[in-house]
Amino acid sequence: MPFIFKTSFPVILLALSTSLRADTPELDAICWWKMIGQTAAQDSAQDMGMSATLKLDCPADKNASGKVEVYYRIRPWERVDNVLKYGPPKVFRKFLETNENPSILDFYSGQYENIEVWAKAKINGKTYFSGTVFNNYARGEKDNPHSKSSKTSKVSEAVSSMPQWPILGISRYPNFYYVQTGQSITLESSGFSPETVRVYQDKKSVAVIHNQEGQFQYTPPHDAELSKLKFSDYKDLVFIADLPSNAGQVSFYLPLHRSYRGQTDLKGGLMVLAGSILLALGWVVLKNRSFRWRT
Amino acid sequence: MSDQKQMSRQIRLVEKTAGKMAQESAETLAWLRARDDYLQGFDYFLDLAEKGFDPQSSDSVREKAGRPLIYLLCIQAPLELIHAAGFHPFKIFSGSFAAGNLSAHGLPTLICPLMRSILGAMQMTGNKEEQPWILPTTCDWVVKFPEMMKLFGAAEQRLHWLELPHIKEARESQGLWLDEMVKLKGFLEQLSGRKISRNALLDSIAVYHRAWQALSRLVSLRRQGLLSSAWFLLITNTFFLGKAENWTAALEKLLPTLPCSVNSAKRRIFLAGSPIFFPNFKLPRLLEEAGLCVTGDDICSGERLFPGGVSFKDSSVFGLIEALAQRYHQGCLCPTFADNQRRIRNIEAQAEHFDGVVFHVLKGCHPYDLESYTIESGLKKQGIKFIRLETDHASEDSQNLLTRLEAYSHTLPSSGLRPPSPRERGEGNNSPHPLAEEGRGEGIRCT
Amino acid sequence: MAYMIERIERLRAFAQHISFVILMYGGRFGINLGPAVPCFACPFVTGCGGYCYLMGLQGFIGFGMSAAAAGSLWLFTALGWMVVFIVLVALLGKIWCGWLCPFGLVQDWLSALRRKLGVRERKISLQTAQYLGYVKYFFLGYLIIIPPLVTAEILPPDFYLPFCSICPGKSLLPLFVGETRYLALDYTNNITFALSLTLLIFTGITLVGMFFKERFFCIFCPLLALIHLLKPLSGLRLVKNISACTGCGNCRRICPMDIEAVYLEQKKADVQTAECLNCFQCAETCPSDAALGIDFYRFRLFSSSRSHTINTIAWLGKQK
Repeated sequence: MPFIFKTSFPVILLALSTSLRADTPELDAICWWKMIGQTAAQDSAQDMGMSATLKLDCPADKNASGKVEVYYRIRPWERVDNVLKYGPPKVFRKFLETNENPSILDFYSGQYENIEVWAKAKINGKTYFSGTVFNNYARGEKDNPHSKSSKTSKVSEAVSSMPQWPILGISRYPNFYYVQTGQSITLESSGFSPETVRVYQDKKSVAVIHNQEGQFQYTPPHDAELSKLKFSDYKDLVFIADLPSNAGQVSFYLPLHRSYRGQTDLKGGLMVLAGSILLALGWVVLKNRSFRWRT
Repeated sequence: MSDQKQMSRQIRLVEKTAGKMAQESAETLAWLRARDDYLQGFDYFLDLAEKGFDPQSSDSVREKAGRPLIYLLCIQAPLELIHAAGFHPFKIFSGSFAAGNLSAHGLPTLICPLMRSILGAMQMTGNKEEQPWILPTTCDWVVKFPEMMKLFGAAEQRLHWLELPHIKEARESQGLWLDEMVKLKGFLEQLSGRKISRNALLDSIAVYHRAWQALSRLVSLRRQGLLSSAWFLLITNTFFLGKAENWTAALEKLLPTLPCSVNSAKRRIFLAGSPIFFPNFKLPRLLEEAGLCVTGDDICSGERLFPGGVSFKDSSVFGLIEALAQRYHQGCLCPTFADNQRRIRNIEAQAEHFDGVVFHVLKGCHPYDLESYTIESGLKKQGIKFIRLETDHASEDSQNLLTRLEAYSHTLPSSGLRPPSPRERGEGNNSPHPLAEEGRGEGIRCT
Repeated sequence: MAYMIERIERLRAFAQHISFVILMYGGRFGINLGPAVPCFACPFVTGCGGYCYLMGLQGFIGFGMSAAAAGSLWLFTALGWMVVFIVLVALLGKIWCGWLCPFGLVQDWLSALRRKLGVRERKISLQTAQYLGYVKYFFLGYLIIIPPLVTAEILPPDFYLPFCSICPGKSLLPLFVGETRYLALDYTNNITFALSLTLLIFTGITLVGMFFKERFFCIFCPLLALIHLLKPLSGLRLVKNISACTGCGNCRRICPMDIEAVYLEQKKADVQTAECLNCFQCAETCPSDAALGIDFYRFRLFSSSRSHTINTIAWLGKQK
């Protein structure tokens, strides 16, 4: 059954304007991936599997009348010359068209993998492309590319390639488990060339980034609230770009974690260290004065 | 008697005493040289004794030591510290009966024979020079010694007292003694005119450690009864009469030449008590004649010459001095201490090396005398045989002592007879003497 | 080799250096001794050959108490590693402290430097030392109590490794692989700032302390406290023969932890106290035959003897 995406008037207005004032209305109008959770599972004494749950939300399509195509690809991380890299994709998989809204998909990995997911949905004559990328930082050797839908338990199938969709993507996933605040992200567009990309961090509009020779640079600022949460907690970072002639929108989602070591001050630390050494030395010297050493 | 007559009488007495002293010394040396177990390696020590106990001895000693002397009594002043300051620690003693007679008139009847003898010997040297002295306040005799020296006409001496805390195991006492060591360091630096450096201390510790190593190896030998107490006491008595390094070298040369056999018929005894000083080797002679072999002693002129074994964690000047202070105080088993219980245990712990204990008490030596009773009861509880001999430097009671010792030796259990070594059997004569290897300080077992 | 075995101290230095290389760099050669190493094999050193069990303990107590862990394979594995830890401690006891701990070796290097420069070692008065000795039990309690509070979300998540966050090992040991990041102040949030500040202050004090006092950090080490609590399981013993002791005080003077019990003890034979690092220098410098001995269950590994001391002290002297 085809999806029918309903749009509301304010959203259309927003979609047409380039200056951002309201926040969530845009997110309600498009389709976007969101990570719901990511948990580790102990497979064996040595191996730890990781399971990520993604939700594709098209809030405008309340009746789940549209159809959604989903592709994803897996790239395992490998240690090459003692540096972690991911190589060419190992698997391309496709979900059969599904009409669930929101569709919730589980991705399970038995080894350390980088997973990119794309979806295409048609709502009210507009096409919405959504993408996301994340790491499943499992530990082990298990090759388990099967992922399934939570609701229907439909399993994906392997394909050799995916169609050429206009997508926004990260040019290179940082060599860390996840994207952090304070870390510079470079987006590239493929299949289309937008002038600007709008950024929503934690459902609030934060920036508009401009095309610089085909690349879009963005550095998520540190978030005091996020910094107080666990390392595994994240906030939503959504990038939205328009397709030419109002054909639709492309969104790109990243779960944004707090900075692991981005907010450190080595100089300050060394000064504190030097200060405490001096204080301790001073104390030793003072104590030395009361030492009985009559010669 | 008029003053002049008295003076001339005194001069004649001094001359006579000098002759008698020389005779005593010569007698003992002759006896030693004529012994069956005489070895050429003993010559160095015999020579030291000969020159060193001459009344004009200090010149000889100063010459041999190659550095100015500091006079000492007892075993609590750290030799390494004195040596590091550039001086030679010269422990004064005398076992001469004749010298004792010289000074007898101005002293109590019952007096430490050592004191009497030293005071007498000093009269002969004239003692006109100002000598630096370091005296720990050990027993009453030592404490009163400088006064008596003055009485006998000695010149003003440069004296430094070390107030010895007579309690070893109290923290405060240990602190007091450390303070005394610091004061001693100051005194030595004043004397020498320069500071005692860390390297000098380390070097001196090394020198005396080498001496201690050699002495320890000698002790291991005598534990097996391979060395007679006469030679052992000669070696230890002459330690201060020359450079420590030379003494060590001579001892190291001697060790490989010592015989590897023992007369297994002799009973082994542990000699405790008052020190025995050259030339008065009466007791070693008597013990041998009675068929007793001394396999251990805790005599301050014998095995307990100096504590050695100065280990330290802190190698700064303070740390080294602290190490010396602790070694010379806490490890000392002189009966002058109030808490000397470990001494009994120390003797008991070595019980496997001997069959009985002979306790030598010099008449007038009260600390040893008193302690002998405690030790006797302690050893009796362990079933170890004990005999007390009270004597002095006179030789009149020799026969009496000999009789008693012979009787005593018959009461001793027969010693675990050691099976004769291959050497004794005539086998394995080409194997090197175990002591020939440098650095092997283990309990030497003859094979 | 005979020379080395004659002198326990030489053997110990050798063991320390080998252990340092294995525990600090072993991971680069594929060595992994697991997360239950009973000494400071700091996990924050990239390429380390094993993980200090304090981190595992904090993680175990923290996450292990959560509902998610109940009945899981993770919990089972963690319990298994705890058993491994207990077995390692039962086998070697405080040998881990005195012979194998990389942080202990760092302290010994600083002490060697102090000795070489002839700087006087600073002493801690007996009363102060007694009070300071309790700090290690405080740290042990601290690292046991805090993680469950974090799991229960009573405390913020940044407390999840409470002891690692303030451990001088974390700031100093990674320097040996060129990692300076733990010397930085962490401004991520107030908690990280406070913890990193505390860490740096502790590091500064520890560095100065380690130079002026032998094995300064071991006075405060919670792992020493933990290993001592498991003493009944360990077969390694330091044994004193009271009747052979002459009270010379060598053992007390040479002890890096300034233990007096070995010297003072007049009643019982077992003289291994909570502070003892099993370096056995006391037994090596004891000049009385068989006064101090090292036992492993019934086996006598070493007995003090006068001859051994003669050789040992000569070696100490040359070290200067």
